[in-house]
Amino acid sequence: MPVLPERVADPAYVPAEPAWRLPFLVPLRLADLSRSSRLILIELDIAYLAGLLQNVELGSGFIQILDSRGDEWMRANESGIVVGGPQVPKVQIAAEGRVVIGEATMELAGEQYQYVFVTRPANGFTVSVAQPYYEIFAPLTPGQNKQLIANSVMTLLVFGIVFWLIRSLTGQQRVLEALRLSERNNQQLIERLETEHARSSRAASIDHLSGLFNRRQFLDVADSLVLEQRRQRKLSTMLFIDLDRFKSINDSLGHHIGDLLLQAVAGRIQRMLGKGDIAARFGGDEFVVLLVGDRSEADIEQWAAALTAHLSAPYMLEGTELNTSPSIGIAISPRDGQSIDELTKCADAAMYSAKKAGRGQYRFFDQSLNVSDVEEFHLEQAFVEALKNREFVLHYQPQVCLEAMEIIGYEALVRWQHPGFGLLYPDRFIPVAEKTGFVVSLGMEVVRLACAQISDWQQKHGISKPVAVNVSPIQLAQPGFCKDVLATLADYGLTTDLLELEITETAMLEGRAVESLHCLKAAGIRLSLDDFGTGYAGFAHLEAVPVDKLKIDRSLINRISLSHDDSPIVSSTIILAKRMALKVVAEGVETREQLVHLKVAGCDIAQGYHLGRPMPAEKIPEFLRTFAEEEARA
Amino acid sequence: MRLLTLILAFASLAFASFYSWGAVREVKNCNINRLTFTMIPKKDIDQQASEYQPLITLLEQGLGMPVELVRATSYESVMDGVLSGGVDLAVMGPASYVIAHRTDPGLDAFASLTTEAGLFTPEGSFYYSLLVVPTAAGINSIEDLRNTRILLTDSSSTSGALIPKNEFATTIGEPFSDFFGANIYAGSHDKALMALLDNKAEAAFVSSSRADEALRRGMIAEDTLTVLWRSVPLHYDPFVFRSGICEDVRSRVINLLTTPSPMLSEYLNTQRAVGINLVTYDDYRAIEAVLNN
Repeated sequence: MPVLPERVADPAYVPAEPAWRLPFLVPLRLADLSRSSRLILIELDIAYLAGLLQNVELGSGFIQILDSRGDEWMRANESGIVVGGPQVPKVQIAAEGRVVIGEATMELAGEQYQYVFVTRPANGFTVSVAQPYYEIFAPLTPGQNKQLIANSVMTLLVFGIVFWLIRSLTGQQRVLEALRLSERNNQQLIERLETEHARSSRAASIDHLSGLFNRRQFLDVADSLVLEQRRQRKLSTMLFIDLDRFKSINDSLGHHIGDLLLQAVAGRIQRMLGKGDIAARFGGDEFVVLLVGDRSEADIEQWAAALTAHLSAPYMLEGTELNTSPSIGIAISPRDGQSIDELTKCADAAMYSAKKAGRGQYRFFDQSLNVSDVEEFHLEQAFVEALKNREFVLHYQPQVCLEAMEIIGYEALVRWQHPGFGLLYPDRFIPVAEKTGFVVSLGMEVVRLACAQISDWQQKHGISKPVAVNVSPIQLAQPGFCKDVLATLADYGLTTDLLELEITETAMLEGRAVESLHCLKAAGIRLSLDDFGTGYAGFAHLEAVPVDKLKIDRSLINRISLSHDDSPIVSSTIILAKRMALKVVAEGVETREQLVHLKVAGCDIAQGYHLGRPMPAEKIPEFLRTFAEEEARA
Repeated sequence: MRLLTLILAFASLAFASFYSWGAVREVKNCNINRLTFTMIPKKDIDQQASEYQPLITLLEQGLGMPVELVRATSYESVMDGVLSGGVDLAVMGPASYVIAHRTDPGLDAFASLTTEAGLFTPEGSFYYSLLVVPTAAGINSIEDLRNTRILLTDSSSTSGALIPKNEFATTIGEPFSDFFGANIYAGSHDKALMALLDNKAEAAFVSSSRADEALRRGMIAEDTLTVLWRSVPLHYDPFVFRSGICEDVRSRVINLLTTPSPMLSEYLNTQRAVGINLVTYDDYRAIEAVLNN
């Protein structure tokens, strides 16, 4: 095995001079090991070695061959063999082992070197290679710089993005905050607007006086309600409500009370409403109700009757008790109409019908539903038969002369002794008779009956007292009325002074009626003006009409007891009538006070419950006896 | 490490063969059937070998025997070869010849080239050792080079080591090793020049003829290098026979080298030489004197 001896042991060693040959000693092993070994010297030309190293890229680095003590045998770099120059620090060389590989860092001429070495302790040499770090890393440096630049750019980019993000987020946050604020403001504005809108809508949709819907709102709402009811195959009912005598209440008690009444009526209607029902005031004293829900026709009628009763109950308004009643027209969908328009028209018409029927009435638009109309119809149908069967009878109410307090005559009041309905009073059938024209024949029948009775009394009891008969203006307007009356009197052989005809003020407005009156008057029949003080008639008409008596209406007489303030009207009327040479009859005298008052006032004749109720003719003789006895007692 | 072992083994074998051949020649003397030839390394060994190919062909044809070119890696190995008798004919450096001649006075220098003129070398048989620095470095005086890296050729190179260490040291008046910093032995003049141009060192000692050659080849321009110092004229490299060369071979070789022929011209062209003149040891005594200082 060749061994490289130590450098200093070389006989040719000169410090600072290169060794141009590496002397390797190779011991020759002889058979006899006890004898001293012989050595072969092999010298390696360093230039040869340098030539080989020529192709090794060392850069600024170098390669060294060191002896076992770390002394340099040779140093070479890319340019060639190097002698002298900076002292290369010695590395710790391993003393034993086969091959030792090591690595160290050293500084040479201010430069850091990496130093890699291989030591072969057995061969006594070490080969080392040193290269400055900057060269080792040289291939990396540009990349490193690029990487650094890239990293810096990336970092800047990331910072930039983060900055931008933060900025934009902050900006967004600000915008959002501003938006939220403006949203809140908007919300507040919207809420205010909505409140205002609701208020104005309410104001626009509500009738301020009654608190019910107004016409517009009612029609809006009702339309869809009716549609929905139809869809559910349920009835919708429209009720038109009009207050009776509202105008006179308003006129007499003032608008304030009128308004209070309207409010009270609205309140009563409101309380009657069921779920889903709506009510409105259309204006004036006109109320409308739409009933929905699942109501049958019977239910509807029941409801209408209840409403009528409810609204007819007395009202207490600021200490004043008021009585009024509704006239109600009822239309039912789908029977009477599909649309609100149709229903409104029908209900309106029905309401007028109810109004005509009298106060506190309700009427269905569909006639078949009007029970009273059915009765009316029946009566109408029964008229002819009744006349034929002489079902009409007269009751007689005595008329008393106040001065003598004796009975001076009777007012004949017609009754219908209906086989089915019993005794019917004129208010039940006179309107029907007037409407159908039966009033003419009925009137003649009454005249006939009265005449027959006078005649009967004359013959049986020797009584010859005049009988007053009510004549309808329609009848008066009949061309042959005067002639017919006179004929009837003649038939019974009566004088004209025994028959008195009571006419209403309206009769005086009709030209033909006035004609008849003159005819009758001329014939000697006495005429009296009925219901004086309630109609249009004034005293002016009295001059034109040849009446003999004035009958002061019961409503005026009634007030005598209620209010003493009203007595001057009666007194004045009496005085005026006297001045016109008219006899004055007071109707409806019910109390003794009224009687006294009337007597004091100068009234000629009185009739009323206080003096005698209307009674059948056969009761007259007994009444006369009783009356005479009472008068005698008084 | 395996590489190193291989190198050691190879080197051992190479030297062993040298010695064994020498031993055979001694016995047979003039009865040689091949001529071994070598030359000091001056440039890339392959390029140098191809330049010498016309000369080898001339010798082979003229001698009628194969001529073997031994590729020497250093001046020392050429000396070893000639001294050991392993090499019959060698082109040696002037100094290495003088040094080898001390060991074996039988070494016979018989011819050297006459070169054409160059920028750094006059026409004729002489050249110089030059201390050059790159002009671009701006170094104007020798003193500026103190403690700097200096490029040398080979420790046995005349102009590249021996003359600088002796004559130049005398000129500056202090030991060579004290003046400069690191001494870098590049192995050949061309390598030294290349290393200088690569800024591996601050200055170089090179042969003026190699500098001219570099100029001719375009490696440098005329103003690339600045010459700071020039040695005494040095006689060109001698063709040297080993001692005891067969006279017949010796005379035939001298004849071939001194008789104009196309092959000789071709060889001379490669060396930028105009001719070959005969020399003796006396022509190198001036160098001996310098070395003895």
